[in-house]
Amino acid sequence: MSAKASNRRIRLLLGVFVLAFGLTFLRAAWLQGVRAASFGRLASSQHSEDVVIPAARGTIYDRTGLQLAIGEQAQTVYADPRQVTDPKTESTTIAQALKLDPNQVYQELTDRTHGFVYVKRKADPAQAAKLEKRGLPGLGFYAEERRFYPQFSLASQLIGYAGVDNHGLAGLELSLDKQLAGRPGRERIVKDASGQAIDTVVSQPERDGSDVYLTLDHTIQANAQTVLRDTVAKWHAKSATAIVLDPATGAVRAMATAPGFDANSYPQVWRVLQRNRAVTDTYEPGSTFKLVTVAGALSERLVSPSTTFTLPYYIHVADRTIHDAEPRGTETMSVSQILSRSSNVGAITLAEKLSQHRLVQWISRFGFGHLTGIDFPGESPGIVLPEDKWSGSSIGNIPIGQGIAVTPIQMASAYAAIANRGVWVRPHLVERIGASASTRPTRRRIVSPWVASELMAMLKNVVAEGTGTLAAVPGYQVAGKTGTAAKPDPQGGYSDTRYVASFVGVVPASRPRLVILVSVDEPRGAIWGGVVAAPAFAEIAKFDLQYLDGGVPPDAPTTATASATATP
Amino acid sequence: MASWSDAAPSLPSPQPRSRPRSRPRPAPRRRPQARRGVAGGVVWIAIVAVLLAGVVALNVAVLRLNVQLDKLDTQRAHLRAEKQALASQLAMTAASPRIQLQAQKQFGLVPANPAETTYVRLRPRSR
Repeated sequence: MSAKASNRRIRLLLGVFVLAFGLTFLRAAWLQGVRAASFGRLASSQHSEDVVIPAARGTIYDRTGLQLAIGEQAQTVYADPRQVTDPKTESTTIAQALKLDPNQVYQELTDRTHGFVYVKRKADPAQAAKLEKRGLPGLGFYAEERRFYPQFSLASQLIGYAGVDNHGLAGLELSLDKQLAGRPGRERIVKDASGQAIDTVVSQPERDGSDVYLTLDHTIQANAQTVLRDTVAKWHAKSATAIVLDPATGAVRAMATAPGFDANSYPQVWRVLQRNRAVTDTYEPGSTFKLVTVAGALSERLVSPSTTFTLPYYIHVADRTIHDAEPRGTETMSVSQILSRSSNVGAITLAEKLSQHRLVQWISRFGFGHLTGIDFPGESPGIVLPEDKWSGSSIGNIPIGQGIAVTPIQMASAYAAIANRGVWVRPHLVERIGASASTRPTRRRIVSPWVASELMAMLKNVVAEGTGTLAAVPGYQVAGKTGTAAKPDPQGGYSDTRYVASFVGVVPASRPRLVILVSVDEPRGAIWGGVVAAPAFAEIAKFDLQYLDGGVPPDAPTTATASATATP
Repeated sequence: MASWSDAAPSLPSPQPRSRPRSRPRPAPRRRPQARRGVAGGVVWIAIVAVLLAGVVALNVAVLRLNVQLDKLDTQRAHLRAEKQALASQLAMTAASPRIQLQAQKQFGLVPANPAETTYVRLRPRSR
């Protein structure tokens, strides 16, 4: 072999080596450079796992410390259909243990297109434990927190509910979701070959949600709900709403709507029943709104409580004729009597004296047409016509509470302002969140103390000798106003058969502790606020005054004695 | 005269040969060094062995603690679940309307009539 040929072979071999090394180098660069991240993830997924540690949802308490919404442990049952060996037997066993439909479970277990199916989320822990002991192949279990409402239907429209993922879906559970939910923790767990955790690499501890303390009192709330339920049943009404408010602080002690529902079974409940009507729904208030007209006229010093007017039975306003509720002849009435006898003609006369522009200002000053700012989601501002949209007849219906829509909470807080010597306080449901101190609610003066005091005297007359005598509570002075309003007809105008009967009152009138509003939607048999809503008010007030602080001392002992003597 | 002498013709007396100095043999000199080297090696091996054993022991301890931690976590979860269940039960039973209803059914509780309730007004303290 010649040296030349030998050299050529050596060069060829060198070339082969260079090529092999070059390819190896390129492959290494490809694996470690371009694909490094994905392979790194693949490798780490085989020996480590990121685990989210759920944070416990905060508890909702009433003002006495009773739990209204609480988190409790539940077991979620899942299955891997590919590992289920005998779907028929297993589905029967599972359905029996968890009270499910066996056919539904069988369908899920035979669907081998998925490697994971939920059998039942947040199942009862005792039922799940029994099932776990059976050791069925392909079945898995893990703990999850579920929301439980231990008072069932108590304040369910108010508290709302949290969904299957533990996020608030309605009511305070929704509006306070951020505070209640907390922050979940994270852990990266290193596992051995058998999947056993051997180390925790990264750890971020979970932060549990804050507890929420409400102004609500469960005893007052339960009583209000019972009274409303009885009232709805007695008058075959569509629904009824009640608010119990502390006028000095704006704290809501009860906010009830009948019919109610059990928050633990919210998916089966009609959405309409889940609404907190006291805040989200509006109604035409009727005569309870006359307070605004009279307050405006008094504040503008156009009249005094003793100023008299000669009032016919009816009055013409633009193209409309408006009359009082009861037929009567022309009479002379004082401003106080206009309110106590709930004269429509008298209220319109006062409004005409006040003028349209100033009446609009007073409506706004009392907070109608604006949100009260209560800490509940979905509040309605009501419907108030802007001044430029008023027709000629508006001055004939708005002063008597028609052609205007308000929410029960707006009306209750307007009366609370009068009870609180003319100072309006923002109504609120949340006392404090976690350890933070409670904040002082917004306050503003809307009428002078003198006007408030005169209005209280007039409202006392309504119960003493006017339309609200059935609202009287033995032993206590009551100030309040009845309201009866026809509901708007879908075909136009007002209905002759559908009414809202309401009563708003203050007890004890001499040292106001509570403002109570009761409104009954579409009662049958009677329509008047003084007949339908006033007795419900009296029932609620009687109980609350005895319960509050161990009993509120009576401010009218003579009525107590008289009543006690009259009782056989 | 010749004399007997067995003396050999005198030769230059050889220089007294200096006794060869006993040089330390390289082997004996090398043996202690090797021993020291071996001893040093053994020490190092022992140190490394101890360190390795320490590392292994530490890892085993960490592993045991992690397993214990896992068990404690499970225990904590169980206790938490139990506490939540008890809190739910307590909340259900502590509601005053329920207690009132039970009292009415079992003991015939009658709500007081406010008209018949007497409130005693304490006289202001005499100064």
